Amino acid sequence: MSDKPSAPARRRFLRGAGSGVLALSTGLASGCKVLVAPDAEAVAVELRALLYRELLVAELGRAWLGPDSGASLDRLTETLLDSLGIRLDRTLLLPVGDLLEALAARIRDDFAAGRVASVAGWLLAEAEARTCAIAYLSRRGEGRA
Amino acid sequence: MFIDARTLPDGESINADLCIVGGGAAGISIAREFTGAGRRVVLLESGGFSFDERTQSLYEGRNTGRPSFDVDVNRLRYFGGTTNHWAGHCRPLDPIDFEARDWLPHSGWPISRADLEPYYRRAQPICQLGEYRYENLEYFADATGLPVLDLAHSRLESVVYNQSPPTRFGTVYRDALGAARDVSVYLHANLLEFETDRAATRVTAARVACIDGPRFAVHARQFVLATGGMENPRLLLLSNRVRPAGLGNDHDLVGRYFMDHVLLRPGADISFSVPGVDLRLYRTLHQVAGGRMFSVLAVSEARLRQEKLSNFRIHLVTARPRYTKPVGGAVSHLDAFSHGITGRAAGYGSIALHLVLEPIPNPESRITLSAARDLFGQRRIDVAWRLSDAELEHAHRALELAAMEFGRLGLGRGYGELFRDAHQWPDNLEAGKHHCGTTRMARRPEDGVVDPDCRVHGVANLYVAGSSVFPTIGYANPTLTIIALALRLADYLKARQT
Repeated sequence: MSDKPSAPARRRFLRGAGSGVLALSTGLASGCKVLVAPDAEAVAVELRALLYRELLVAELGRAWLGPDSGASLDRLTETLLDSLGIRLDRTLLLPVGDLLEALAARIRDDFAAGRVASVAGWLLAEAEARTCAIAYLSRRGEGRA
Repeated sequence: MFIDARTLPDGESINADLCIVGGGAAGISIAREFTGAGRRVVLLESGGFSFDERTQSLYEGRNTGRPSFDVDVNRLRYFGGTTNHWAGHCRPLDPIDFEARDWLPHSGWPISRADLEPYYRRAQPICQLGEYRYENLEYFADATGLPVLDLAHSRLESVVYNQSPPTRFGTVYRDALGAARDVSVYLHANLLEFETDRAATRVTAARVACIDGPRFAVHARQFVLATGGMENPRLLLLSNRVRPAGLGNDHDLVGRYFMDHVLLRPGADISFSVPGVDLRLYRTLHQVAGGRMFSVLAVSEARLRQEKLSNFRIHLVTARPRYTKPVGGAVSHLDAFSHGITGRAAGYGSIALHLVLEPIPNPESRITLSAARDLFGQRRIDVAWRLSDAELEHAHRALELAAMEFGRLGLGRGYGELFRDAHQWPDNLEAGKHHCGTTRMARRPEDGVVDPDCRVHGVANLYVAGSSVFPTIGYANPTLTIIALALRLADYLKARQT
């Protein structure tokens, strides 16, 4: 039996989903937006925008990396994009909506496949743990971590 | 009829066809089966119709095992027994629970779920439950109009749980037993020991005492011990005049394999990532088909076999989460996208995962007699509830599977102490207060205390009823199985005693 739920089934499970929430659709907010620089920092900025609670996300990212991590933003971003089937050097003009779609799908697949990470008591998909780490390193690069 | 045993003359001798010791769920269920059957049945109940501290004190014991096990709570020693405060959750054991599973040492019943099925069905109305439809969640989902979580069935399933009112056996069945002319319920009658013939192959009498009252004996052709998973082994061990190790204990098994469900409440919390997650089928009771039901998550049989896990269930409970920062909100944009909805997180609440895990039979987890004595001078018990690293691993995996499902469904993220440290039991580890395994059922006396008919190996006319005969306990609450086994034993006794 498939490990993936059908989209209608997922929707059926939500009561009144979307009501009372601030409009921020991929079409409105990110679908028309494209990446303008094919580098890790530009990607990281857009990834950060896909997550909320920036401080919390950075905390998780730092916890996932562990102390004295020598991880680089470039390397992490490249690894994440590889897992999404996106090449870093081909991200120029990549619609942010596509990035969102690929990341959301990868997270679902990670959970389905058991590719998870325990981070500060939270069970995260590997892709989202990596995204949190990218967000942390990106903030740190701005001197805000 | 009810008789206050304190009014009997000291040294009285009572004769019966069947003597049942214990007026709880098992004992009352058996006694009910004999009303109008033309047999003389005696039921010995330690207490009266209400709680009494001195009587209750007879249950006191000492915990020598895990600190999270409290010996002196849970059991009640008056008519109706522990059903006087049970929660009422009911479900049969799964078919796999009866199997010998190569990854669970000492597992395997000598009977199957199919053997018990007709008795489960008969037990259902005794617990005042609705229609017997445990394998048909869709029926309840349709009846309630509520959605079922779209779980990966290779991992978890939603299963039906029934909810008893809960039936207080001592209240609900009091009038019927009081009116029964062939069933005599002796209140305030405490079994001290079974007396046997010289070879201890046959019980000749039950020696009984009242607090500050007379002592007397019940002579019967058959005896049923139905005093619960802690007291059953105690009374067999105390019946040691002929066999110093106690009745049915030639192989040093009485009191061993003590099991209780492993509880983590919560084991984890799910921080929702989207609004409006509808878990009403799970978190509240629903009146359907003449009874009340709810659903829980349970591991699929395929996953049990694949990963060689203990069986488990997870309740979804509305409770304050243990985390302080809701990560569900952080990933809400991603999960909302997966559902094709738009939105920004504000904080969508949470649900607690209460884990109930099957323990692994362990001969070193046991009940023994202690040096301390009760007010009759009878030795009390030491209880050493032991868990292994395997149960810890299974608990962690159970919660991981559940958290992964909520993540895969795009509903939220899981937080739990075991995700932080998988090598140490969280502080909130509890026992389920379901005392099992101490007179386990097995075909051979080398492997168990009672045979598949619940007769004590080597003793021709002594039977044990209750959860102490369970060789394994699955994840289901034991009461329905206790009653099913009691009804099966009653049928067996009726067929044999002519």
